Amino acid sequence: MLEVFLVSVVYWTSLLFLFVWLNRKVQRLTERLATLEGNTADREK
Amino acid sequence: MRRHLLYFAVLGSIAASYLAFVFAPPEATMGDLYRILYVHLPAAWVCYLAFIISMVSSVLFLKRRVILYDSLAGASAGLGLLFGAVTLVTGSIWANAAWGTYWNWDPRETTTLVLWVAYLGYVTLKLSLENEERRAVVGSVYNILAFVTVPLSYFSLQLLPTLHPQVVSGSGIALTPIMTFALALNVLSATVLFVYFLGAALTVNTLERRVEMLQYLREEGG
Repeated sequence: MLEVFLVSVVYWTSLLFLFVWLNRKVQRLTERLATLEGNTADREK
Repeated sequence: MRRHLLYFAVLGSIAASYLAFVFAPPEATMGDLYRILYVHLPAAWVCYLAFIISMVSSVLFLKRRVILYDSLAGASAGLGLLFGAVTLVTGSIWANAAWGTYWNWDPRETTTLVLWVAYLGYVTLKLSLENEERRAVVGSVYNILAFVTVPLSYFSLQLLPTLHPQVVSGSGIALTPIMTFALALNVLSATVLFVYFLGAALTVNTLERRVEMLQYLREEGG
């Protein structure tokens, strides 16, 4: 039963890490995109 | 929409885990160790589903040359590898309890390992090629060829003599209705979770492309 418990903990932890990693990446990219779009708009003006 | 998927996946997973690890009774022969099935089977199902989606996306990419299909194929294969790793590890633990060894080259074990290695090759190939179009075309062709390992793994139970229990047909493991319900809920939750992650991975991919394009335009502009 300990093995089952440990595997479940590892499984859910890896999914949680994936979730956090993807969300942080989306956030970082959105910020970078906003900066780049702002720069492009400034240059066009 | 994606937020709703996440809520459903999280709540469904909590309910499914409670049913699987607390509410469902122990199995007649394997006792509590059979509960690994509630992680193993949903992971295996999602692994197959991910590789099917990946192969279909690669076919669509080769047919229509829309880069989004190639991104979908890559993201789906990456998630398939993750769930495939979970399937292999949980399967090994089960094998140790049932047959006394973690790995005994059983046809199902071996074909699933071959499947996993084939898709690891696909992801590695995609990471190793610089040119985007070449990467997409070569990757798609490889993906379609690698997909042969999916039916090989799935039908290994019917094609070759194996010790692996057939949960779907009910032979080898006795599930009560509550166990079957818990299993179905775990499969459903894992599927929704996979769809959520696939959507998130595609969003990351689309954003990366837009950032790359804007950076290129900025460099070109001066």
